[in-house]
Amino acid sequence: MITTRQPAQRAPRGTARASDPTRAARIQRDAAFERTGSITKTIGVASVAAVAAFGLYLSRALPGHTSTPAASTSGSTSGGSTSGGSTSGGQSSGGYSSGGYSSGNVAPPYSAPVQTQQPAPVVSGSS
Amino acid sequence: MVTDPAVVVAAAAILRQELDHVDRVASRFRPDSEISALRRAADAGHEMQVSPDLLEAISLALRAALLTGGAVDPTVGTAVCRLGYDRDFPLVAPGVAGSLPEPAPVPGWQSVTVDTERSTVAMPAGIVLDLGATAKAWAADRAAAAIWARLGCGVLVSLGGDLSVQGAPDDGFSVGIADICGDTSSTLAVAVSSGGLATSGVGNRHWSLGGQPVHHLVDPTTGLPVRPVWKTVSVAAATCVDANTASTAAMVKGKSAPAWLESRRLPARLVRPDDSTVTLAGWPAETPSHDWGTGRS
Repeated sequence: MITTRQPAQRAPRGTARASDPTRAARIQRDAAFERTGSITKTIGVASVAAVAAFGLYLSRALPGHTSTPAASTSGSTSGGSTSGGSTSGGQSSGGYSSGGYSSGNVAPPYSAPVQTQQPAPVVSGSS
Repeated sequence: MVTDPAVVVAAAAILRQELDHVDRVASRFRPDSEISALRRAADAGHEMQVSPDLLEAISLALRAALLTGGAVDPTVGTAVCRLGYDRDFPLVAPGVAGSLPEPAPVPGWQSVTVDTERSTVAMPAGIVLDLGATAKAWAADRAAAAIWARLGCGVLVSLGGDLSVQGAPDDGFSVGIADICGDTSSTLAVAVSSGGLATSGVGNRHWSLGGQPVHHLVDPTTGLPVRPVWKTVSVAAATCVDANTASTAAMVKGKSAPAWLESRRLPARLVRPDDSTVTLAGWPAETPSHDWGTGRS
């Protein structure tokens, strides 16, 4: 959310010598503008932060789209394999990810298995 | 399994092709495999330029090690060989001579250096890489992707119970879950719509070493078989590689496995030795169904 604040309007010529109640009212009005602007700014910043946080959450929620680096340093990319190991210059020790496999974590499935009463022609763990 | 019966022969041919290829690249039991050549080069003190596929296979194994905190470490190969599992399993199953070695940490996955720009791998002499926790699952993922891409039909590839799914029908593929690894019957069936599913356990690959029962899941911190807290662990993930990485890691991690799996939102089923189960992260609550007893896999 983007908001703009208008500068307080000057009093027309000839009214500069307004009475004290008028001046007090003007001061109160300006203070109210200040508070409103401050609140608007806070809401704007909070909204942007919330959108960013939600985006980050979504990027991690979708399997294969994690954003956590595999290791703490840089590496190089070659032939579809990305290195993210502990040394530089394209040479590294461990910490590789290959095409199609998430580098940052063991990725969960798009959907969890569901129990079924259908006959199972294959068995996981059978050999 | 394919959703179009008309292409089953073509799908089987693609699967065989992928399996042959992965075997030639990554089998530590074949002297003519590329990974065996890498071992010989390392023993001679050289790095070796490898094919893109071996580079990827080793990279995935190192990735598994990184993402599991070292629980799934490809350098356990040396320790597994010391336990007698240095040839095809049917030759080991009857039992081997020897005695249980003293506990010693494995060399560690950090000792393997991969240069992706030059396509080279280097490691200290004496290391035997065992890609068992990732290579079979990688083959399943590769085969499923190739069949889906070339034939355009839904497919479930099962390699010894490690499953990879592409283009599943709306109600998914029905898969039985073994309570004991190596058991081809099942009392629980789940529908899998995408990704991978793997079950790890010690029920199928165990043998006798000089009279002592041992199995193939090695704790990298000791170089000895893990003391199993779970009889089996089944995990669903985005790919078969990730599912098998997680199920193997859970077996090694033992009591801390449920929290580790839950934190990664991996649907999983863990079976204790007394047959009680723990299900988490969306794995369906259990209502035992029929004993399918298919024996097919």
